[in-house]
Amino acid sequence: MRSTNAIEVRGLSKTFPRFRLGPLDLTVPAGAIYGLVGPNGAGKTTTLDLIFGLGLPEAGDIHVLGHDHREDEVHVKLAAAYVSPNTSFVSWKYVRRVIGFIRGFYPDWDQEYCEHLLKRFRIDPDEKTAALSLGSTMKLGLVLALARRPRVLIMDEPTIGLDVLSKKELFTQLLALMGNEDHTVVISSHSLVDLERFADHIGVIHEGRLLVEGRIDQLLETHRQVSFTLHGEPPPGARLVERDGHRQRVLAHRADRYRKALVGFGATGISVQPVTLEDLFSGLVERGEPLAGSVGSAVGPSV
Amino acid sequence: MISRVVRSLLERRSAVLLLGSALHLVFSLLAYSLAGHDGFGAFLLLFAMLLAGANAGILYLEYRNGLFRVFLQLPVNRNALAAAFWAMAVAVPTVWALGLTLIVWLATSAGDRVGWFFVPMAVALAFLCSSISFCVDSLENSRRKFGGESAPRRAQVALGALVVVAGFAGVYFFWRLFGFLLSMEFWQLRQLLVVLTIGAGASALGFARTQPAAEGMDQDVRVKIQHWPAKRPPCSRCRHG
Repeated sequence: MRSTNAIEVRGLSKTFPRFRLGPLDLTVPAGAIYGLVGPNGAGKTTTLDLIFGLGLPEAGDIHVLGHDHREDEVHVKLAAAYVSPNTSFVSWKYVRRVIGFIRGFYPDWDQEYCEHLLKRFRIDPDEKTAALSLGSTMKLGLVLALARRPRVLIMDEPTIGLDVLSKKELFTQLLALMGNEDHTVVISSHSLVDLERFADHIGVIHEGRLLVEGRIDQLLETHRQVSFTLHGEPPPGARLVERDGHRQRVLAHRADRYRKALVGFGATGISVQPVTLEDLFSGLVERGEPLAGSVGSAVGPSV
Repeated sequence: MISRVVRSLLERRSAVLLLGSALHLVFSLLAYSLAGHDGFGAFLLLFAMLLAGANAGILYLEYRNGLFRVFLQLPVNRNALAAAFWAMAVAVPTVWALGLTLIVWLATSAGDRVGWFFVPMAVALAFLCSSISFCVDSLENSRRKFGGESAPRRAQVALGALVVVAGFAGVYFFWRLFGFLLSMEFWQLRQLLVVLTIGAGASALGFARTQPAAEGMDQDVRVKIQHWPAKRPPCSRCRHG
């Protein structure tokens, strides 16, 4: 049976002397706009590189559109595109030459759309690639990826170096691409600002581990900030966010059950507030541990 | 598809190939007129190595600048890409040296007797030079063992010092041997075979490293650029990360 997921990562791991990625499971449903978010050095780029076959994982399986990313690498790279700030086009000297080189590899390349994108992103085809700023190089990478309308578009920090207009144009073009539900977009970022209005799924990665993953609306629905007054330690199963004397605020998954636990502990003045994505992100990342029941799914077992 | 990669590399290298060819032809005629057939033979050998070295240097710079990251993203089998990498680093400069040396040798052999053995020897030395460069390029990727970060400063200094010392040793070696180089008697078939064997060994070692090297290339380039955000002011949203 064909998988309904665009990307499936199971047990991915790779070790460096001072950093270990995984074991990491990650699921990107087909048609999703998935934001992989985490602080600098969390393992976002390594994960995306490994998904696209740039580098060898020590363990784990990666499937893109049902294809093994190593055994069917040509199929995967035809159907998927990867935009990364670490790519250099300097060797081709001119933008036009880069485009001429890249387009020959993709039978479904849309040259008309490519020229349209160049205009929208304000890139001169006759400009020297060495003269392109970081933002312009990113924009060129985006044009090269979008011009073939890939079924899976993976972008690593795509907004780095982009001005406000270019950023707006980027999201406009991505939304246009997503008009066809057959397309999937994965965006990594260390900032939530660019993702929270655009992505519908999110994965929070920190120190090589995926802390939480799922639909944003479900994550926000199932997580709450719970404030209460309690003498002593709060019951387990929630992340302490703030403590002011005996007044405490925690991040809890399935707050209704946590509230019952609090009552059992003798807490008073309990109030439950909805969380923003930023609350959820900082609550998870500050301690670097997943909340019980929240890893891998937004609707996991309650605490 | 892989032919597009090779063609692109050749097109971008065409200026160097043309300039190198022109210089070779001009200086070979100059060497022939000034030094006679003996000095001309030594020129053929040294220039073949210089051409191979220039090609290897450019390839190395391109790879360091993230070119192979672009190639690895293309819908091309990575084993074929590794073969293309070898072809560009070793086969092209060797064939180039063969073509140029043969042309010049044929052009000048009519006027005076120039030993034919200089031709295979020049090609063998170009092969040796480019194979060693290719091998060093591939081995340099061992820096990925440092966890995707740049090698420690002391390792870089040690490597640099080693290269400089090796360079001086090479110059000294060739200077001392220059007299022998001019002598036809020095070059025997066994020397040719030794040079070819060493070149083949270096080439094979480099090729064996090419597959894991593809991984290391990404890590090196990526980490170099990952330093950029660190120079920006810290973001208040992720200052705890």
